[in-house]
Formats: sequence, structure tokens, C-alpha cells
Amino acid sequence: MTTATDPPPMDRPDVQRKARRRRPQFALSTFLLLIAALASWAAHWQAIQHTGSLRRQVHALQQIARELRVSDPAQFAAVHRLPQWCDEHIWDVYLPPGNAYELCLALENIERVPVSTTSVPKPARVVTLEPGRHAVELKDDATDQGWSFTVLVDGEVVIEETRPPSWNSSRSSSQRRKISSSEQQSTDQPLELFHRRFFVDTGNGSSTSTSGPSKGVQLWIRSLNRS
Amino acid sequence: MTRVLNLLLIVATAGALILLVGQRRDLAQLQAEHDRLAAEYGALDVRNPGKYLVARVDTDDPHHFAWRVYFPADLQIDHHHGFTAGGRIGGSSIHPHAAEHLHRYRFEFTPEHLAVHLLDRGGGGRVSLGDRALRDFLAEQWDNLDFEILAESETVAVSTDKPLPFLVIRIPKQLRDELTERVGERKAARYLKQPLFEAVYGTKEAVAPYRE
Repeated sequence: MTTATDPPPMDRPDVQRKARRRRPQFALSTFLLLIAALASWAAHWQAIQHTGSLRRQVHALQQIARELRVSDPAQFAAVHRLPQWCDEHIWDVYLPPGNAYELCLALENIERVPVSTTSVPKPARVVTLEPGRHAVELKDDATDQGWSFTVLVDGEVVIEETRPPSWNSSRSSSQRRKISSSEQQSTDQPLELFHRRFFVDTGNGSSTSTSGPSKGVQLWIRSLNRS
Repeated sequence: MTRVLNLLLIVATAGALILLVGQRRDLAQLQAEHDRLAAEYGALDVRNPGKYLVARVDTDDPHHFAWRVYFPADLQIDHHHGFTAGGRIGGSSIHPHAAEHLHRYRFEFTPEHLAVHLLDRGGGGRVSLGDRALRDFLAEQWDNLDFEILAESETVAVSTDKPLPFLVIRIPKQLRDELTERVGERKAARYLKQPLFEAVYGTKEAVAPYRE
């Protein structure tokens, strides 16, 4: 029971001390700094989310655009350019400085395996390439007059090969190696751009692939290792 | 106590701001690269990885139609495209991982035919239609044909349970007389009866009616 001379309970020092202990007090500046810290970390987190989303979109676009990317200038780089027509074959290639290079086209004795230092068909034609960036294009056509194969470098025809209609009876073929995204590889191994093997006519109107060497089209670049 | 707390908050704020400045720089470079590529190949923001997504890409060529397509993982899609009165290509594709690609149809007027080049992630193909008379008629009337184009004005998330007509081209009825005069009555009736060109995607069940 309180008397008229007793102070109200909230004004008593012991009650005030207890209340202060229960509810810690902060300065206005601390609150403002807390808000600033939370806002800046929230902006940072939002930027991380946005960067991640944008990075995924850019990666997808780069895969579609098929642009040549050279991260190691001492290695070959190549990409099959996004075709504008279904039978278009153009590669953007990068050849490192310090070496000379040869662009090789083979039409016979094409093995199943890709061209390498141990598996190299005899090229039908060879042309020299200087280091740097080039656009290499392959055009092949089969008409009643026969087969024609043309290779262009930077828009200039450098190889033209023809074969009679009897050269190959089958139009069917298997094809490998498209380099549909920019790739890099050591100059120690040949850089294969195109590999097609024609099927062999079985005589009953159909054709089939062979396990041995066959006619076809193989296009690659090799280093002549000046050093 | 307050001073220590304030100091910690100042350090935390400054740290976040320093990181933010670095991120903004990266973000600006990424945004510039994105804008450069998206101007040519279109933008596609995948928010639901389980949905098939299509966005039309402008080509500045009335004979060239392109879309950015997002393909969810493990979704099997059948496709049938080509000239309904001529060559057609059909097939099926499934991707173990989600994939984005550019899907295109490009029409070419060769000296003798109208040909269409299909260009997509898996490769390409070409089919031709008609003879010289039809080719000349279509070359002259190309802008007057009816084109039904998927996602023509905006990105669409679509269900593949129904047929997805990427591109349907029809010869309008008002060109009947001229077409008949050029290719003859029998051929004209055939070209007018059904779409000239049709490219349809969807699940096996969805595109079953389009199978020959």
C-alpha cells in the first residue's frame, strides 16, 4: 500500500535502474549508422544477384554469338562462325606469333580419328598461313559435273580442288568437329577444323560407313615450328 | 560502448560500399557486353528454369526469321517443319541440361526454287519447294503473304503440350487469281488449301497431327 509521501513506482531509482537494464538505449547516431550499414549490405547483396543473373545471360549470348576469344596468345584459337546458311562453314582462327603455319586439305584416306601428329592423311593441297587472325571458309559442292572443294582465307580463294562424278558414288557422309564455341589448344597438335567421311556404296541403293580410311573432306592447320 | 558500436557500423558500411564500387565496375562491363550481344541476338531473362521460353529476334531481313529459345533440361520436343506441299524435315531433341540457342529459318530464292534453311543448335537442313513459276510468284508477292510468327511482339513462356507454331506462311485468298494464272489451277488449289510453310514444335503427342 502506498502513502501520500511515497514517490510513484516509476520515479523510484531502483525501478528506473531495472527498466534501463531491460531496455538498452542507443544514440540516434547509432541508429542512423545501423540503417546505413544495412542499406549498403542490402545493395551489395542485390548487386551480387544482378551480376550473377547478367553473367548467366552474357555466357548464353556468347555461346550463341560464337565469337573468337583468345585468353592464351601462345595457343591456337578457333570457332566455327554462326552460319548464315545451313551449308556455310567459316572458322575464325587465331595463330600465335613466332611460327609459320600450313592450311591442309585432304580428300582421300580420311581416318575415323581426328588429325593428330600420329594420324595425318596426305594433304591434297597445302597453303602457308601467317600468324594472326584469319577467316577460313570451306565450300563444297556436288553437281552432275563432279565434286568441287574451295577454301578461302580472308575472302581470297587459296585452294580449289575438283573431282569427277565417279570419284565418289555416295552422297551420304558422317561429319564431326564443329567447334561451336571458341576453343584453344596447343600448337604442338594440328588444329582440325573440318572432318567428313563419305559412306561407301553397298550396291543395293544404300550406303554405309567404313571402319578403314575413306574419301571425305578434312581441313586442318599445322604449325611448322620455326624455333 | 556506443562509440565502439558506432565504429563497427562505420567499418561495416565502408566495407560494403567498397565492395559495391568494385561490383558496379564489373556490372557496367557485363551490362555493356550484354547490350552489345543482345542487340544482335536478343535478350532472354530465364526466371523459371522449368518453362520453355521463346523470344523473337529482329533480323532486318524479311526472308530471315529468328528466335532465342530456352530449352529446359530433360524436355523432349518433336519438330516438324517444311513446305506442306513439298519437302519437310522432322525429328526429336532432348537436352540433358537446360540450353539456350538461336533458332532460325532463312528463305532463299535460288534460280529455280524457293528453299528454306533451318538453322538451330543441332545443325541445319535445307528443303526446297516448287518450280520456277511458283518461285517467281513468291519472290514478287513475299510482302503480301500472311505470316504467323510465334512471340512476334514479346517474350513468351509457352507450354509444349500444345503445338507451337514458330512460323506459318500462307498465300492469302486474294492472290488466288494471280497464283492460278502463274502455276495453273491444280497447283494453285494445292498451295491455297493448306499453309505454304509450317514449323511446329511440341511434345510428341502435341505434334502428332503434323506427322505425315
